[in-house]
Amino acid sequence: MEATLQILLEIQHIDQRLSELDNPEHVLQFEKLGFQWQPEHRQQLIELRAKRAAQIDAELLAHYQGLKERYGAAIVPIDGGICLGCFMMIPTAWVQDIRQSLSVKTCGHCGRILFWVG
Amino acid sequence: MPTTKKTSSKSAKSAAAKAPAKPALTGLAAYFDEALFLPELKSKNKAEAFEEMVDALCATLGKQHKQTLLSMLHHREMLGTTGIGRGVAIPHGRTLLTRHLRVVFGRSNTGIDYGARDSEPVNLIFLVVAPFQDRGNVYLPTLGKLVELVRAKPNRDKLMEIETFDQFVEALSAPTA
Ligand SMILES: [Zn+2]
Repeated sequence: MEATLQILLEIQHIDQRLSELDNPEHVLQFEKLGFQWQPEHRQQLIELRAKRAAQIDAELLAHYQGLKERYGAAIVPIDGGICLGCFMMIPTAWVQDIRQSLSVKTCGHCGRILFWVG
Repeated sequence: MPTTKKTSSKSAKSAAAKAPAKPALTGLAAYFDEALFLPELKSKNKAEAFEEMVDALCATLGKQHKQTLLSMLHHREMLGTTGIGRGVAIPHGRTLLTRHLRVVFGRSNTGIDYGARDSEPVNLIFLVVAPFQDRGNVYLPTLGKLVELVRAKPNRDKLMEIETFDQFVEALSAPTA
């Protein structure tokens, strides 16, 4: 079964792609390497994002959106029990929960959504 | 270099099982792994090839993340192809699902229907996943080095001929065009 955290991560991936597309320097660098950009296809990705966003609880989605506007990335990795958004400690039990059950947990200090990276 | 700083008991066990230890790879080769070396892709099209290659990646990153990785790659293709021509494709993306930059190498001798820029079938695929926070700033330079490598026809020919991972590593250090 797909976890809410995985849907949120997919939304973050889409947001990342859209921000790449909106960054002329990024587009130019990748075009120079031979990669293609078709800005006219952006709507397809926006529609996909809307479809995924509809699968998330409205309050959580609003929280994601707020974090994205404030920090750029709403979901951040945990490393060595530390939130890499604000470098504060995360309870050990949470780390296990996020890692094993993909539970949605937000950092008690900065509010960012936490992700365990393998 | 993509080696884990903290070794978990699980990965320590699997590392111990892989004896004898080989010297650490350097340069471009440092991002590759024998488990991510797929010289005989069975896939006929892009979607299948991504699956085959992501399966290899998921052995390390976790099977539960397969769909998320696949969709991440397909989002990029929606915005334009990563088939750069001359039988080469370099699908890529940054994701929280990996701690280090990793490259999966896939080769198809018959060619894959990829929707490349030159509409030619693709034989060589380098699938690049990089950490979301690219602190070492290795993502773009690595993509650049791969593009440089395959720009030279002798290098592409060599990559089509190699049979073992060791030969592949040697081919990666070939002079670029
Ligand atoms: Zn935090």
